[in-house]
Amino acid sequence: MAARTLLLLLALLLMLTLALAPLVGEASIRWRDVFGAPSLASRLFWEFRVPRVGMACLAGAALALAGCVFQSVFRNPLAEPFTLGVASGASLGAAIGLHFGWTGIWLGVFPALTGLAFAGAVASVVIVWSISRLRGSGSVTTLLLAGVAIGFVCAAMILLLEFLSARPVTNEIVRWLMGSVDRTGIDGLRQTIPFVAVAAAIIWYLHKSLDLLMMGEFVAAGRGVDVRRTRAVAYFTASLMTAAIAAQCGPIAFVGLLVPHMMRGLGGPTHRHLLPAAALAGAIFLPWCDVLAGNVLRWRSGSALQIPVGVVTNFVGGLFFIYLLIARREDSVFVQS
Amino acid sequence: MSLVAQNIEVRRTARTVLRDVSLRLAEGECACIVGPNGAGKSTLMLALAGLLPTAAGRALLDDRPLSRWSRREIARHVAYVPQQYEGYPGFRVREVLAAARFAHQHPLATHGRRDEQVIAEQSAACELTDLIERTIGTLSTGERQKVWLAAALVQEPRYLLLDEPTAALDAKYVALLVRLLREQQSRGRSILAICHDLNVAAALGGRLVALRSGRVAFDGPIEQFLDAGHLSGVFGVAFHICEVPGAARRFVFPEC
Repeated sequence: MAARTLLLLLALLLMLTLALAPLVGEASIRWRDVFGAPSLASRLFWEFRVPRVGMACLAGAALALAGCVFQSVFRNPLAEPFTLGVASGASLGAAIGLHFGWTGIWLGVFPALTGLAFAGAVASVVIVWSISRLRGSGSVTTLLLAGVAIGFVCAAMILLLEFLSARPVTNEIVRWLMGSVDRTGIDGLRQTIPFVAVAAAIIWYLHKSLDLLMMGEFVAAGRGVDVRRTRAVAYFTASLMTAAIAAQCGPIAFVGLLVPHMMRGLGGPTHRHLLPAAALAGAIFLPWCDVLAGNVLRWRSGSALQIPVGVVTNFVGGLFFIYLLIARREDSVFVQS
Repeated sequence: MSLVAQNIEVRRTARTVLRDVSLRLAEGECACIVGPNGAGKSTLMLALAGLLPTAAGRALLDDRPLSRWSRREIARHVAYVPQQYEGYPGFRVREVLAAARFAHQHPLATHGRRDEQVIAEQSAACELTDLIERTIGTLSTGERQKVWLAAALVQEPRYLLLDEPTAALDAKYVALLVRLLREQQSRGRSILAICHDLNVAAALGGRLVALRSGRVAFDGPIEQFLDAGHLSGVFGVAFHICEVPGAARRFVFPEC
């Protein structure tokens, strides 16, 4: 498919998503309720549904962008925003907050749990990077392995905190680890937008360098890319953007794996088209996953129980992972030097 | 104006690959590097392209150490064609050629008329016009080799460094490559090529640098190198040296 056609189609689908997704839920809302006289339906729409869909769009776009960056920087189709321990760090931060009861509001505006999750994510990003530098070369393989190792360490500490916590707190930790876009409302959306906007601008600035990095380190350097600096900027930018999302939503896995891969297949690997296509597709995919997660039990059995969106993305992503393993084409595989 | 290795020592994975190697490539000069496997040919080329650091000695571009040039500046003067492509195979040929203009463009700029003109010229020169919409993964090794050569030419460098450019090419394209490189040299470009085939090196003519165990074993006109003593001294095997009536040069073949 031509890249421009794909972008146009995705833009239309995003508009449809923004128009329709907030209307779907336990209480059905119609457009005339929203713009008519103030009512319970209009309050529900503006105060709950819009921030929820907005956060899903933002998180989906950010995670897809970060996925593009990690897959290009590591030249590995299985790299995604959470491969490098960002989610594990955020989860550990949140688990510490929940275990010790630090769940209030900092400085009158900022939820402590979000702050702790963000601090945990940033700490893991810095530790992973530092470990890779200790080895001297800072190679992508060391970086990936350091991320996996930090993920294991964080997972062990989270298990310990779950074991030591009272049952209700353990439940809260487990619930947080499932990933959800309905926790922080409009304030969470406001806090996250600047991170994503700045990070997206930096990533866009790097789009030609990312193309060349996918062609190999020597090729990129030979064409004029400062490989070490570009990789560092891309890594920290995508990681901090992921940290901002993980702090608000918890770990929502696989969006950053699945969406870039699909968009690369549909519109080609050039980042000039891939980045906007992935951002748009992520902003479409996650809200509908959330709609499905929030309503599937009601549709099936009339239950008001809402499944966390992380369960749906993990399920879809897991199936996609299997598809990748079985049906991958030659040009869908990156070669790791 | 020159690209120079000045008594360089290069280490890779804790092993010293090059020791006290000096080489000066003047503007418009063509030189071939030969030597047995593991002699350090690719390492020397990477060091001259500024892609590997030197442990001792200096690599200089126009009398200024390469370490003081930015990568973008180096890429405007020196283009490197790798032996193998290890990147994503889903790029189209035109995308690979377009990306080679990186050093001449602002990071956010789209292609200008000059970029399009250079890409069209070099894809035609390397006979890639029919392959321009194909992805790298669908090309043969020889076709890929032509794409990397075209991409290096799209970079408009003064120094063209080629790591075994004929390794996967058939006879027709070897002839095309030799013709292309001669043409580039006549336009004032300097060429440094690693050649396993000594007859291709001889066809390119000019100067030959032979490496053995990380040191320069010979540096001089190629006709001087094509004798039994030099050849067996560098490669450790005897050679047949043939004079072909009507041909302007000698041909060499290892004894098997």
